[in-house]
Amino acid sequence: MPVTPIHFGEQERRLYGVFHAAERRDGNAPGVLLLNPFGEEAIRAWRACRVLAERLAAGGAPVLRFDYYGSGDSGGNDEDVDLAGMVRDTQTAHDELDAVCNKRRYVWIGVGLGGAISLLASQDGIKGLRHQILWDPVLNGKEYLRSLAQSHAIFVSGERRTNPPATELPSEALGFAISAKLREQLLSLVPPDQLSADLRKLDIISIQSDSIKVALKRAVTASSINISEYNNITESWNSDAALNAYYVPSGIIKYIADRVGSA
Amino acid sequence: MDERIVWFGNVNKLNGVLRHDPRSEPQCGVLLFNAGVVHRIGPHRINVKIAHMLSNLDVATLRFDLAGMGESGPAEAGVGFEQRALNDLAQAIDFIKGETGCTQIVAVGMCSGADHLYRALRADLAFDGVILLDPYAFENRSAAMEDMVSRAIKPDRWMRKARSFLVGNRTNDAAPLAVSEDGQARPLPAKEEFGQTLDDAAKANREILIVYTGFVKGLISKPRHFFETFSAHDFGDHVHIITMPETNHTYTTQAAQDDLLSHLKTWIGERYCDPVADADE
Repeated sequence: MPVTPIHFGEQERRLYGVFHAAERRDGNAPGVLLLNPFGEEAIRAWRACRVLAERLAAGGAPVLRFDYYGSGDSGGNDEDVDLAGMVRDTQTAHDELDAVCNKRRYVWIGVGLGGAISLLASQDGIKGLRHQILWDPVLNGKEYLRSLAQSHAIFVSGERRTNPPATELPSEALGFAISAKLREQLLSLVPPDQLSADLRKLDIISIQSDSIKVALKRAVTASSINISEYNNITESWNSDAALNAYYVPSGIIKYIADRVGSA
Repeated sequence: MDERIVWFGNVNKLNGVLRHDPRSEPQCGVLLFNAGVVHRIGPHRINVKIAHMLSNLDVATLRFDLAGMGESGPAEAGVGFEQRALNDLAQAIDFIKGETGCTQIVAVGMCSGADHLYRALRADLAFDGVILLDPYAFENRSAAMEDMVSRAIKPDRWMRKARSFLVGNRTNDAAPLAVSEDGQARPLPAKEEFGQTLDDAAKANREILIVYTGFVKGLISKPRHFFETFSAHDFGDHVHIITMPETNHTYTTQAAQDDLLSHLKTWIGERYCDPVADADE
C-alpha cells in the first residue's frame, strides 16, 4: 500500500512524517503513533518501524511515524534537538493523526528514547490515548548518556573501552551532536513516579535492566493500568550489524501488532 | 529556503524532498541519494546536513530514495539493480532541472552511491559534476609502504588489531578494497577501466571530486597516491582528490562532518556558484 509522506506542524518548526492509511475498515482499530529513538538509533530502527507500520495498517490501524524537529527529514539541525521539543513534536504529531483519522482510541509506540518521550508527552492526558507500548525504552538519562559515550568511543576507535570516565558527558554520539540543553535534560531524566491517569494498558518490550521494569511497575501499581511484558528477545535491532543485515525483529513486530489489535 | 515532498519518475514512483528557494533560479542542482542500506537522509543524516549547507549557496538539492528503498515505490521488475539506479538518477536529473530551472547538475554518492555514480559516468548521464565519497580504490605502492611504516612505529595498533581479532570486536582500520560498508562483496572494475572512465569524463569537461577516508587508508592516504596510480592519464583540472585518512567511512564524528561539509562547500561554490550567492559571506 502506498504511503503518504507529509509535512505538518508550524512553519517555523516543520515536521516530516509518513502516514500509513488503514488497508481495511475497522471501526474498533486504534490510530497509532510511532515515536522514534534518538540519533543514529532512529536510523537503525527505521526499517523495523516501517515494517511495523505496514503491518499495523494492513490490520486496519492507521499509523503515523514522524521525525522530531532536527532529525530525519524534518527541519532543523542536530543542535535543535531537545527533550522538551521532542515532547511538543509528539503532541503535534498526535493532533495531526487525530485530524486525519478521527479515532476514538490511540496507541503510542515509543522506541528507545521515544519510550521516555511517550510517557512525558502524555502525562497530562492525550485525547483517546489509553495504551502505550515501550520498546527498549530509555528512562534513565544519565545511564543513557554514558552508554552513548561508550558506544561512540567504540565505534570511532574500534576498540573496547571498558572504563569510560565516570563524568563523561558526550557532546556527540554516533554521528549526531548532543546539545548542552539535551544533555542537561537527559541528566534529569529518570523513570516516572506516576503515569498518565488516562492510561489503561502498558506494554514493555525490553532486554535491558530489570530496574526499568521495576520502576515502571512501581509507577503503575497505584493505578488500574494493565501491564504486559515481552521478554522473548534474542537479537537487538540497535546495532550497525543489524542495520546492514536488514534485520527486522519479526517476533517483536508480531507481538506489537497483536497487542494493538487486542480489545 | 523551501522544502517540499515530491514524487517523480515515469515508471518507478520515486519519493524525495526538494529543497529550493522558489524565488530564485539556481545555477546548480545537487542530487543526494541512498548510501548502502540507509534511507535518503544518509548515514548520520549527512545528506540533510549537506542540503542545509548548500542552501546557503543558493544551490537546489533533491534528496531521494532509489526505487525499492526508503519511501520510494517498489523497484521495477525485470530490470537489474544497477540499471534501475541509472534510470532513477536520470529521472532525478530531469526532475530537478524542470522544477528549479537549474542548468548544472551535480550528484553526491557515498560508497554504493559512489558506485552508482561511477556507472552513471560510464553511461554518460547528464551530470556536470560528481562527488564520490569512498569510491573504488586501487593499490598504490607508496600508500602501502607508508601505511606499513606507520603501523610498524605504532605497535599498540597491532596489539589492538590482534585483540580485536581474538574477541571479534569491530575495527575501523582500512577495510579490504572489495567490501562495502555493509560487509557485502563489492564488484570492482578493472583499474584501467576506472582510469579511462574518469579520463573520458574529464575530457567531456565533467568535474569530479573524490574523497577517500581511512576506509581505504592502506590504498590511498594522499592525493598523490591516486595520481601516481593513474599517471598514464591526463585529467587536466577536472579530477580533484581529497584524502581524510583519520576519518571513518561514514564521517561519524562532528569534526569529520564539518570538514566534509567545508570541502563540499568550497568545491561546489568555486565551480557552480556566483560569489555573491554565499549567504555566509
